[in-house]
Amino acid sequence: MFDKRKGNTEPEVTNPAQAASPGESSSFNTRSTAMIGKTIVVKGNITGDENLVVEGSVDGTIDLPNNDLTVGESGQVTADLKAKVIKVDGQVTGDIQGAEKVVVSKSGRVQGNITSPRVTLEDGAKFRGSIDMDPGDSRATSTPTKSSAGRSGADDSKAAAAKQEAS
Amino acid sequence: MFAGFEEGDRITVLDLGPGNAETLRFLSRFRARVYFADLLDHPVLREPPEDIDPGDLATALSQQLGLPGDTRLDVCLIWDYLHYLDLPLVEILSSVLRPLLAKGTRGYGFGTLHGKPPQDSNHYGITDLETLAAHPLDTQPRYFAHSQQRLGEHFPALQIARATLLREGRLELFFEGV
Repeated sequence: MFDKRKGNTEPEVTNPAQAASPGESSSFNTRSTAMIGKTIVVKGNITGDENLVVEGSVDGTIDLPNNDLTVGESGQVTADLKAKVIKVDGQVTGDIQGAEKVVVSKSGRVQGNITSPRVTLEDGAKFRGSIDMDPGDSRATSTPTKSSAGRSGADDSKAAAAKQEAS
Repeated sequence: MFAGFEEGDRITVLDLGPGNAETLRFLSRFRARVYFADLLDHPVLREPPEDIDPGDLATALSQQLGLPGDTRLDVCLIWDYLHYLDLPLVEILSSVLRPLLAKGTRGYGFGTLHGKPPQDSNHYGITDLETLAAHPLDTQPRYFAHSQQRLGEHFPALQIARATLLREGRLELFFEGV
């Protein structure tokens, strides 16, 4: 398993579940959009019913259950975020809940936990934390007992030999 | 590593490396919860001070892993990270992980046959069941080249179940919970 390795190239596999469907070329809706500019600092809780772009600093919470939230490249957010679609081009420290989708772009930096049915990390994105792609169901699956990747007997012999040599 | 898991199964995965687009895309076929720990992002873990207390190291490790205490991991993606830690820190990592592992937990990582470090230090993404994508680490960490025997002694949280020889004296290690 994993015996073919590629260099630092774009991944070839595209998950259909994560690809935009026709008519969905942009995940962001066209409702009116508010903006927190680069020099603005907000400490507190933000709620509302329009889309929001944060290019400044926010320390608190942002809750836009029916709208889209973008943390722009210059945005620095230390807050828990809730919105329908969340795109991070800047820095976020905090938990992120996207009802539909969360995208951390190549310039994005996130430290926290992401919960959303669809999560995309673009190549170059920096992320540390957990990602839960099944927020609606916490039912655990029993750990399977089957052996791992289907391997041939020859592989096992080689493995045993390697194990012996290595030790 | 993922044989036996059906698409749509709920699984919990720990990746000791940084967040990775390929791995996330691969895991999205499951109802996955994945933790990206990015161990080398923590300065104390990257270069532990000589006089640091083991308890402080354990605290730093736990914080960096960010795993709730009631987590039960199905898969632990170890990659080369055990070799970026000295043996005392490997032992601490083992003790921190142990309560989060179960008998069926699987682990995957690399070893070295001749004690030689790999040419490049990479972090990895899972492109598909047979293919990894390698990305150079931002900084080249010290590589301790622990033998398989040493890993068995100092990382008892997971047992090495199988090893496969790869090119350039690298080993592919399959771990399992005990």
